Amino acid sequence: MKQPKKPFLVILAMMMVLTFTGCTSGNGNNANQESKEDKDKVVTEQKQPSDKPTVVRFSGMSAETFNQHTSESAETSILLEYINGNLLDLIYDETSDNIKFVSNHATDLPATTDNKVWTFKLKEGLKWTDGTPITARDYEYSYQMLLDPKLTNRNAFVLFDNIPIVSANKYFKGEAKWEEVGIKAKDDLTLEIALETEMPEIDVYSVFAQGGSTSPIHKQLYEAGMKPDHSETTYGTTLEQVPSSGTYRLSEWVRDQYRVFEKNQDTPMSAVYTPDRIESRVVSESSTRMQLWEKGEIENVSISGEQFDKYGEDPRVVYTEAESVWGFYVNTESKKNPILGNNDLRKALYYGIDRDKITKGIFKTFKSAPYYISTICMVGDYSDGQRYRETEAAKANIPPGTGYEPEKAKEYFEKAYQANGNKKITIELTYFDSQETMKRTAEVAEELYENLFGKDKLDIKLRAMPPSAAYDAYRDGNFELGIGAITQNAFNPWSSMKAWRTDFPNRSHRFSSAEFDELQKRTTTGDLLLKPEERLDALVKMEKMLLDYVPQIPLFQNNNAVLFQDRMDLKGKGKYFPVIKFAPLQVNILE
Amino acid sequence: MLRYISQRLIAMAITLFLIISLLFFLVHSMPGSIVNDPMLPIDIKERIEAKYHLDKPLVVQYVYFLGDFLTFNFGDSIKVQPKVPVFDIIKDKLPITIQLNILALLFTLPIGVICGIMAALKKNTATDHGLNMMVVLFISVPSFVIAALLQYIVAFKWELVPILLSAEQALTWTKFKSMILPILALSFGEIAIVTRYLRAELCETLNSDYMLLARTKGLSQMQATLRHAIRNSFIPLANIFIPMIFSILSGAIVIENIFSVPGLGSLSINAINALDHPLTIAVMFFYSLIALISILVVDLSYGIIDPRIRMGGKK
Amino acid sequence: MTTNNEAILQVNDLHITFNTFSGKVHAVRGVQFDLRKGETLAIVGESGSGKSVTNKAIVGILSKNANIERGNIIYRGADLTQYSERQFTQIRGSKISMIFQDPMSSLNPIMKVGKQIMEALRVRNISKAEARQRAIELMIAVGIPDPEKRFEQYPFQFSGGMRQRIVIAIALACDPEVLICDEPTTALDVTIQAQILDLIKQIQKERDLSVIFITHDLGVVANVADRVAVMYAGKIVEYGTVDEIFYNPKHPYTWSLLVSMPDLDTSSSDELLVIPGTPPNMLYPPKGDAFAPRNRYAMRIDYEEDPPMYRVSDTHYAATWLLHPNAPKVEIPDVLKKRIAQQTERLVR
Repeated sequence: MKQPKKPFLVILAMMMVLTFTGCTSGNGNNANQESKEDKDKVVTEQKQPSDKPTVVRFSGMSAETFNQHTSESAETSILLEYINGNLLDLIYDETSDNIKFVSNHATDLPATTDNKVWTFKLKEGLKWTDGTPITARDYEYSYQMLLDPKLTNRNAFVLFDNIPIVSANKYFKGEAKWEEVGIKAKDDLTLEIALETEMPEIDVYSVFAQGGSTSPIHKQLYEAGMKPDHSETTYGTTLEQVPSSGTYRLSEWVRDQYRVFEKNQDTPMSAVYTPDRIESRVVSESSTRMQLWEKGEIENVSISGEQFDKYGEDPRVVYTEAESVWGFYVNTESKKNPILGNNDLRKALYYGIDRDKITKGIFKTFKSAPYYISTICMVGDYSDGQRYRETEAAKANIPPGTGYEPEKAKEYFEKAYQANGNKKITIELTYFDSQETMKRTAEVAEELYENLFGKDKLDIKLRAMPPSAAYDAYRDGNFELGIGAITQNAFNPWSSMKAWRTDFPNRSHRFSSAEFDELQKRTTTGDLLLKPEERLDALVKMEKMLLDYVPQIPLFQNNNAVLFQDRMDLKGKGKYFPVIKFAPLQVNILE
Repeated sequence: MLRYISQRLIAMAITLFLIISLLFFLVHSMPGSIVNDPMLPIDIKERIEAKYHLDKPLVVQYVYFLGDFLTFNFGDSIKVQPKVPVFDIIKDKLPITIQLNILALLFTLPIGVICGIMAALKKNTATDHGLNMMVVLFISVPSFVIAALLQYIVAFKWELVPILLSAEQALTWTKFKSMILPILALSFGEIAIVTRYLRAELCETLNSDYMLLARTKGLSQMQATLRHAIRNSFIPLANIFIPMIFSILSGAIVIENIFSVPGLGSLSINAINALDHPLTIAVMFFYSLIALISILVVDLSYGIIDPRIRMGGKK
Repeated sequence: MTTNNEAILQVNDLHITFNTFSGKVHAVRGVQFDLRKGETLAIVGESGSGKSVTNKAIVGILSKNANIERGNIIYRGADLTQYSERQFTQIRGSKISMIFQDPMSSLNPIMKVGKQIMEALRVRNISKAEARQRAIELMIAVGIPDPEKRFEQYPFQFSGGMRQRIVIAIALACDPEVLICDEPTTALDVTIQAQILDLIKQIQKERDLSVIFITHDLGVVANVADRVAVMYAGKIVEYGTVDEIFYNPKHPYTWSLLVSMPDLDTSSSDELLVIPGTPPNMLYPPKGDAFAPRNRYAMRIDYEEDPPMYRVSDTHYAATWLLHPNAPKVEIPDVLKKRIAQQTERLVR
């Protein structure tokens, strides 16, 4: 029995040895160095207790890449802001208690005479963390790469969709030479951006503010990572390939687990952002995050559901404002169910739902929204901080409260019922199967509608679908009612209105109005661009058209409740702003 | 034997090819686009889809795919970790998955075996009933419930170990401490399976005639059990041991999420959800390969551990 | 056959029950016999009559749900029923050994046969080399050709008869005094049966073994036994020398057994007699003589009271009311008479 036993054991032992060596080699050395560095740090810390480095710890999701040209997730865009500098920056300003655009790599905000050609002057002596200088030519190279037709970077759109840079779209599609594109480094310190049409300053500022897709790339690293056919680059995929031009540098990165950012001293923004070190853990379970927060191991946590029941009354709770409004899209052109084309029915559905039953009953923290444009959207001069929803005209657009008017709803419904030949109306409602709360939303809506209008007259049927498949179905018109939302640009709500246009490629609704389309064009590329008053009127008018037609039954804004540790003394005191949010890096850390 | 192995390997290659082809059509028929932000300009979407040939008919895409596949070029991830070669992603995630699962296995096997032996030897006693209850509990309660409970009680309430897996890469004491809970969560179900299986097998062998003969020739109950019964009941156990050894390469999604382990577990789900087809296919290829190899090893190992099969082959 | 009167093993009034889900099974109900040095005692009976259980009790390998309710087993002055497992381990194999019915399953399938023989020696601290030497000698002794080669083989490479030889070798490895053979030939071909029986007889002679031979095959009994005990429903109903049982049986059950046994003279036209009915359910042992319901000579008292052992001769006893002085004279059935006559005739020739 001995002989046969041995080979089996040997194989087993070999497997174990292999796997263990596999575990330790490679990453092992790295970690040892790291821990050694840590030890050194501890020693210095003990010597000088007075200026102990301040550390903030966040929890987040995985970062798919640190290449700002291809990054996609919200998490990555946060992390990219840490490590990337840009021409401008957007910060919280204490004196005005508002957001403020400031210069970062640029010496000042860009100059323009005609709102078409914008000139940035760069500071002298800008450097990557490794010492490589950053010039206007690097910026030009970065934008050339961002728009490169072979690389087909996802984020190229910022240079032709957010602002229409001359020939940028053509170059991206391989239809123009780089010389024709309106991005020119006049010299080492001057960058000129030429637009096809005039744009308000806030749109230009916001494209070039904050670390992200318009930040410079490190040319040598970018080129070194290129495949021979120049169709891909591995830039930003490993720790060694992530340089820093911003206030922080990535010092440790274990994919899907952990990343550490150390502050670069003497960068233009280093006085604004206070923490010396940012530690970010990937934690995907919300219950785990809550435990970490309660143990004081992370600085902030989003609370929802049961956790909100526990902490909802806590005075420390602050709320985010979502950039999207969720609702049930209506297929008004449905062939299977033509009654959906009846405006009275849609009005009935609009007025007939008690939104608080969903926002407060299911999601706890969400805000009931009987409107289409999020509360976060700003109009007029950004420095005034005027929110669209707070203008009188916008308020007059919508019914008071949460838009729940059962009597009115019943009246509309009776009309629709008659139009349907006094036959029972049956509607299929599509919801996303990925979350339990979405299912409950659909169930509650079904119950509310059926109870209000009568089960004998209205029957809501539910259909579960994965989100991506559902949106495809909406686009192709294979739905009746379906949940969904569109993300809005807080600084440019007019441009976000393109989602309601007839020619919007991924439109989920069936609203088509030439008047609306014309108005939207005028506010984003036409004559109303630089006329704040008329532009606001146009926005009110556009929303009014939507409210009249009801292409979607608006339901809620997915605002979240957030808890910060007491040690995080936020400069904004928990006020929420577009893009910068709670400004968590502008913080006094109380020890 | 060599001929048998080579036959099996050829069959394996064909199976793999079929699996991968089938998978190709399956993943490509999923709805949605890799460019799923509806607000992105259509130009971006069209250009990106064109870059990855996603705008071409499925058959043409399949030809492209086959060309790459036959040269063992599985390509780069498109969305989950853009531009990273797919097998580098798997390779990166393997160490921690293997570390965790080997430790879990080292914990599972002895305990499962001891519990199984105890239950069988003390059949129908309080010990046996107690162990049976444990088995039923651990098999019926999903591991993620156990994981969440362990995390809440042991790490959060009692503060005995950290809540999350330590970020250290080398296997140090602190790292090990933070691995205890995931290991436990991974082990309980497996321990129950081993216990139940071994108990059944051992009960049968303990009642066999050769156990009686072993005892009549002067072996004590313990000697007879150790030398004859356990050896014999281990043979059918290879059926679950070997797949267990190979399954250490696959990881567990929910447990990894709960303890923030950057392991392989959630990779397949992420890849499928993101429509990252090269990564999906690579991950599935990897799993299929593991499964097929483990089946082969199980079959071959029977020959090694059971002389009846080994000798039978020679005749 | 040399038989002296020294009894090395005595079983007295042994009662064994089994706890089962349906209740207590009374498997052995007052078995009493002795085994003398160098003799072969055959225990005959139907399946379930308690013969195997009795012998398992002697070797101490009763299953866990068995209880020895009463009685004792005296081996060389010591009561085995009081033995601990540890004490049993001392005598098992070296003093009392046992071989089983099915040689196919009584060997460990994944252990080389040589090692299985050696194991019996190795647990008694015999060196490996010596154990191997003795194992090979044993294999020669039980008639295994080419023992050096066979030593390294696995049980599945052996035929049934060869396996039983190995089992015997294992049982003999430590020179026991008492060998219990639990239906050792039942699972074998008839030709092989004879060989194994001859082997057992030969070994018994060579080693002066005392053998308890459990069987339901009276043909085998006639071949090997010195004395015979007939068991029915947990009791010995008749015992005596082999001649007494075969030529002068007293118990109606023994008659039935003998009649139901085919022999060379039984032509295919002759009807084999079967014993009517089935053995009693030992969950509820019957009152009186357990065989009464199947006994055509049964009297009323058979249903009321257990018959005592009646002495037929110094060596021959039977438990049947028919031997009671007041019982009506019942003759041996004619069929049996005819057979006995034939047998005697053949013997005379």
